[in-house]
Amino acid sequence: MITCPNCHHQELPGALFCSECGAQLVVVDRSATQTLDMIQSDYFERKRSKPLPLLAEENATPVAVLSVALRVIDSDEVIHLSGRSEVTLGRVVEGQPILPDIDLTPYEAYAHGVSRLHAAIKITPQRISIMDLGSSNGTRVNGQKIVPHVDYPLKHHDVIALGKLKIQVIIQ
Amino acid sequence: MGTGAAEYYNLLKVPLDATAEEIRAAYFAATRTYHPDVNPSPEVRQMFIRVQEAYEVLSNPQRRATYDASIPSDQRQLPPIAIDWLLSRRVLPRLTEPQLVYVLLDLRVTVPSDPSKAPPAHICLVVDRSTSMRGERIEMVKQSIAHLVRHLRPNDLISLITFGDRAEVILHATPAQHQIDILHHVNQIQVGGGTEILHGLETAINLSRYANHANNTSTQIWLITDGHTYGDEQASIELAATSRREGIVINAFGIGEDWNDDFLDALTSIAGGTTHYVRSPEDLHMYFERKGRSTRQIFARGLELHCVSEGGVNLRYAFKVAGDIAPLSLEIPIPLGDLYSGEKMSVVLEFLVPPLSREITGLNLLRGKLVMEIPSFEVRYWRLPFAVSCEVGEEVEPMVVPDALLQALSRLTLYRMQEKARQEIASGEVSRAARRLQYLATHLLAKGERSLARTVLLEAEHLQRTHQLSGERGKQIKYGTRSLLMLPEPRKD
Repeated sequence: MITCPNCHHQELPGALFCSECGAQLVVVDRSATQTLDMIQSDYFERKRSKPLPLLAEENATPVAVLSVALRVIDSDEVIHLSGRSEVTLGRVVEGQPILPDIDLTPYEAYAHGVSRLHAAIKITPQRISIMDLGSSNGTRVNGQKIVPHVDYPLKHHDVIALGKLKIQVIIQ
Repeated sequence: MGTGAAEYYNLLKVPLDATAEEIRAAYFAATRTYHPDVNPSPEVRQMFIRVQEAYEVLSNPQRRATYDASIPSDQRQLPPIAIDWLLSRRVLPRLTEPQLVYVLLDLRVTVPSDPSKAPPAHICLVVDRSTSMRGERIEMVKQSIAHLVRHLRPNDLISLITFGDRAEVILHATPAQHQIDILHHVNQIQVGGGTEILHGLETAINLSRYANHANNTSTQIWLITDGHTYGDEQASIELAATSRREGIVINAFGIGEDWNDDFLDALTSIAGGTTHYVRSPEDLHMYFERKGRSTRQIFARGLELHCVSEGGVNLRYAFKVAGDIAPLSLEIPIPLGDLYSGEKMSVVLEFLVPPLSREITGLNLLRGKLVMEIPSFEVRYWRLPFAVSCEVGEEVEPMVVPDALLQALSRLTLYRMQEKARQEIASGEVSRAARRLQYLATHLLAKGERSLARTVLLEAEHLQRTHQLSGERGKQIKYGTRSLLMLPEPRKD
């Protein structure tokens, strides 16, 4: 059984909409139809990157070292995540018991509505995913809000938004 | 009358690949329809003789083989209809509990439309002339018929039947070019009496039955009513099922607030048609014009899904979301109505899949044949085999739902919410129904449907006060949420 996040009604697995309140129960992968505007750094990426080892597919050979970086779109700064298997994103406030691995305070996180523990990115050789950690303002992937505490796969060039802070995922 | 290459098959209404048993069954059905004892008119007698002739040839394997060989091979090619489907999940996870899977089935004609080849349409208007139709209502019907006649092709046929306490044929099938003659008869309609829908339908089907085959027309019955029929609902629905088997589609137009929408929906969905809610003369005008135009685009008619689900899979819900929008009956065969050139038909299906054991690696959700009649072809009756299957895997993959399917379901969900609220009212759970209507209103607001949302909220209040739906708003909500399905189609990929 799955539980509707809106009204907590129990639904059969595979249901797409809650039969009780009509809420949508699945996250849509709209990235197939998404066109991102080319910006300068994309040209740069293009030259170097081969066709991406796209991750969830069966026949993709696991890559030994997967380099993942996050580019904060507003400030155009790049944060490298290499060598880690899980990173939490958020902002550090005084007296906070659990600190995020990556503090987004320098990017005006507060003003953009980033929670203290906002989201986690998991990196395995097979796939990279993001999970919202129950943030106040939610997390979006390519504009689509994701359900909290559920892994959502990420691809190269996906844009995630923590509150209003937009970050592009760069996978090499 | 045509004497095409496959005339014998057409007479018995069977496809070229019919089995001996099917031919026999079709022959008996045809003799019952055309038997001189049932209808002594000379044309029917002629028909009866021809059916005998056809059966003599087709029931004899040798004579059938010779006859088959005389049909040119280009007429034996399968009709140009593509059947596509999308699954909500390509690989079903092997779960120990039941699960749901959705299918969007698309049917479309793969050749460009050629209206000149479409046979003439025969529209049989069955008009309620009960006392309640007096005044504005009967006037709007008359005006809309006049409007319709002007928009038909000259060789399309119109016939007119009125019913009150009993039914009368006002006008036998007449080509639309005889405008003045038709309008003269239309103006003679007098109101008075009750609403005996069964009589009206019986008369219409008898009139259409023979005209249908003799002229190779596409016959449609348009039932126009504003009231309830009493006691003959079940008989009417059975009659509608018969009419579909003979290739006659029934559409209904309900005027005002007092007609029985559950009954008309059941009637039209079993006869492969749709029900329209008429709130104003403009509505009726528009529906007539649109329907009249679409009769010209009919490529295949009387589509039926003859299918089974395997492995304990259960078809739970079916709804036609494009083509003519209508709820579908779940009884096999499922009537799908007409398929138009240049307009695809989409059906959303919901399946309940039982717990999957280890041995199962794939499932046929639906397997069977799509049966249809193509009026413009020499060989008129066809069936296309198809199967909707999915794999079963160990891993639970993240759901990647195709956009078109999600869009269709998202709109359908709203319609189903009002449907469920109605069921709850029927079983006395008023407060649940009211809450559901409030949820529905929230979704409608989110979609920008403000006036419909307001109607739904008013209805939720009304419901809590009086514990029943109001006829007017109830219909507005039902047909309002249904018409949301007509919003721009999701882009084709």
